[in-house]
Amino acid sequence: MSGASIWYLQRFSALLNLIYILWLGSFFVFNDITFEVWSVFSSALMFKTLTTLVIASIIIHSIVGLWTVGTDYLTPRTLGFISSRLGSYANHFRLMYQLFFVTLSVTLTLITSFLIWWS
Amino acid sequence: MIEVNIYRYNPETDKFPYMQKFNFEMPDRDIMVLELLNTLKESDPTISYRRSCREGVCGSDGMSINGKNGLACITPVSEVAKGNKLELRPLPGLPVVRDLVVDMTEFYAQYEKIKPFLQNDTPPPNQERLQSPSDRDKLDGLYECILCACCSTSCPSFWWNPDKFVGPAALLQAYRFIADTRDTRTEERLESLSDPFSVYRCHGIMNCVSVCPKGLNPNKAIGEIKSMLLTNKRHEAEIIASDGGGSS
Repeated sequence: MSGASIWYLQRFSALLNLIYILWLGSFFVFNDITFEVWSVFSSALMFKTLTTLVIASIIIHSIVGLWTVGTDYLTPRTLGFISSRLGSYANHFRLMYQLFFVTLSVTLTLITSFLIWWS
Repeated sequence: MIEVNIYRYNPETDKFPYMQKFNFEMPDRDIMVLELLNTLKESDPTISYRRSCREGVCGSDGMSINGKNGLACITPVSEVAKGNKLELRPLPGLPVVRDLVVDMTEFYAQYEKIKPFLQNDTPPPNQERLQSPSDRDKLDGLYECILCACCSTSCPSFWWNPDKFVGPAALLQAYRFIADTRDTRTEERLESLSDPFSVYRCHGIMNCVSVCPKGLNPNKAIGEIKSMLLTNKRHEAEIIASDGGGSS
């Protein structure tokens, strides 16, 4: 993937997240929230579709951000500043770190999709 | 009297680097950091640092002066000595060869990567490739770089990925040739920078701008490159280049 594609992904996902937060925030601010009101709102197709889209967007945004952090700070060079022994394990640490957040992302997607569409 | 602390490291004798303290009697006039170092070197000839032109042209004596990169030869002691204390360290992020001398291999490798020379596929004219004054103006603020490495070594992205992120100095030079209307390889130059690391590891913190001893703005040049990559200007550049490259 090119640097420009990643740049666009990060900006567009951030924009989508912001719009969703404002939309959801305005719902909470301008309504008297009761179980019935929330129940009707959250069972609407628009809420379900937008929330699913935003979950995907949050995951894309996080993966790009965390990948950037990992390739900056979990490298033989960077950890090598602390100790050369630590630096020699840097690629293993980064792989574990990436596996962790990919697993977390998949788990969160499955849980939230289940909660939104089937609960 | 000012207290000068200098980073010392001789790989042949020292296991670890250390800071050595010197007390320096300032003369009646203000002096540059380089002159201070030269005077200290008279009493301790083992202090190592690079220097050549002593007037901010060669870019040899880049170092960290009280925590900020700069050229020792054009930095007055009065401007940087805080509380009569001065701390001199090698340029950060690069391997130390000895004392204030760093190994610039990674820095030059990035410079080499951007092909810092004019490339034009069209047959050369009888005398020279001409430019209009406005096209020539586009190179101002780009060609003046002296490759002192103050900017690249003040950039955290370059510290973490000196093999992948091109760094502000080389990117400034990359844009110097991209912006040059006589160069016909714009498409190829942009393509070589299109991966996620070469340019896009710049997050615009602008350390490069604040330390440049020549007052240049690598961040602006990087922004121009990013903008060309994002808007696919390279294809337009290719069309312009195929029309003959350069205006006269």
